[in-house]
Amino acid sequence: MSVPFNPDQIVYWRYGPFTLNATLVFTWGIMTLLALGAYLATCGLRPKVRPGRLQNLLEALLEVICAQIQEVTHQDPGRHLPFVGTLFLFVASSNLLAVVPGFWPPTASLSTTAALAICVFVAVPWYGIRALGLKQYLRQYLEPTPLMLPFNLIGEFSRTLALAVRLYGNIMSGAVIGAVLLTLAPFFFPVLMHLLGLLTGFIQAYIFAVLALVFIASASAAQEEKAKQLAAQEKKP
Amino acid sequence: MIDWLTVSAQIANFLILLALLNRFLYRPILANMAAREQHIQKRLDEARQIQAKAERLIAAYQEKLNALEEERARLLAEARQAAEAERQAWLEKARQEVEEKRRGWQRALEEEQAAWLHKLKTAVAEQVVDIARKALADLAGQELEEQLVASFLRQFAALPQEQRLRLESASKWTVVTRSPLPSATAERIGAELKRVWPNAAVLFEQRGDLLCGIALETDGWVFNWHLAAWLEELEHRLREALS
Repeated sequence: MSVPFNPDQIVYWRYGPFTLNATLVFTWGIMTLLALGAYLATCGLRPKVRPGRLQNLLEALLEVICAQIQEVTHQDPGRHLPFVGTLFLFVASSNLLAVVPGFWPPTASLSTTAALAICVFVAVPWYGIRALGLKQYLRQYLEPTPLMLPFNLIGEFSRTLALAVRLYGNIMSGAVIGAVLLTLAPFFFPVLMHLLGLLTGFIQAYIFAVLALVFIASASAAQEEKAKQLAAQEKKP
Repeated sequence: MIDWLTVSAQIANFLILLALLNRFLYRPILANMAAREQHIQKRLDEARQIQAKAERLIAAYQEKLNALEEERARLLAEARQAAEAERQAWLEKARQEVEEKRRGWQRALEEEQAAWLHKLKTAVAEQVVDIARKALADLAGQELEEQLVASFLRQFAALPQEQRLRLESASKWTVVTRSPLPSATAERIGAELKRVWPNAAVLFEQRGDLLCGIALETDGWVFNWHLAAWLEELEHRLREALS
């Protein structure tokens, strides 16, 4: 008996090179759930003095995310909220829904985590360039000397790779252990492992989002520092 | 392990999800929170304005209240002063009225006293005259009037020369008595006067206020010979005893 450890391998439909696998299907499910839930929650929003329960929940959630962003970056949370918040919500809901029987978390697929890591990989310079401009940003790779350029580039790539593999490894291991235990002790252990999976899944979502945030924020903060120093140097004759 | 088609699809999926959540979750909620914050801020500002206005109103009313209190105190003081002045005026008026009444009573009393004394005097004089007359008649067999006239004539005859000369031009003599004199006595007086002033006319007249005795009057001159002097003395002593 073979256990499919990777939801990419569960293929529902195939047309030439295009395959409709479980990763995509469950991703769409999560997307629909989140988007529909967000729409339903916010379609009746009014700036009331006393918000309703659901509105209160969402506001509290956003407040917590904003507070976390603020705490980590010491920057305006509004700038990072859409990207980091979406990362967190997607990963967290994917991991938490893993307890649902028959649900394959998309985050257990290396394709998904790689895709998210690539998004972070792109987002770091994107935010940097938006904050400082292209020239200032590129100059950062030549600091402190141009000799450091290869190391800076390697650091950038390895960071992305580590991010992708960490999430994938954790979630996939949870799924794999669950599946293995299911074959050994079908009744009791899988439940415990699922409970543990809830905890680790949530923690992984938090870690993934915070790491992405740290990469983005530290880069842009360093760049801002550097920009300030450069500006100060230019002012002096 | 990595299906690159799935990776690119997942990237697209993530971007779509980002856009959807940004559209339906972050922006509405953040805008809503900002709006509510603004709304609350506005309400707070309004409340602050209203409070400030209320405080101003309170201050204004307090000021008005103080002014009213001062006005009331002033009016009260004025009213008290006016009442006191009025009371003093009434008291003064009452005092004056009492004084006037007292004076009236005093006057009435004095008048009554005087009238009574006069009456007493008259009565005493009449009694004295009666007693004297009776005593003289019983003890000495003589008339009082006759003795009086005799005495008067003796006094008149003893009038100093210079006074007699001063009365030389007197053309008319009036002999005043209380009751008509007996004709013999009248003749004696007339004869005596004629002896001194042969040309002068002699008239006899009766007056109630002359108690006992005789008065002789001519142009601005009066000779009295009666009980008035010691009756005055008696009245004086009686008045002293009464007061």
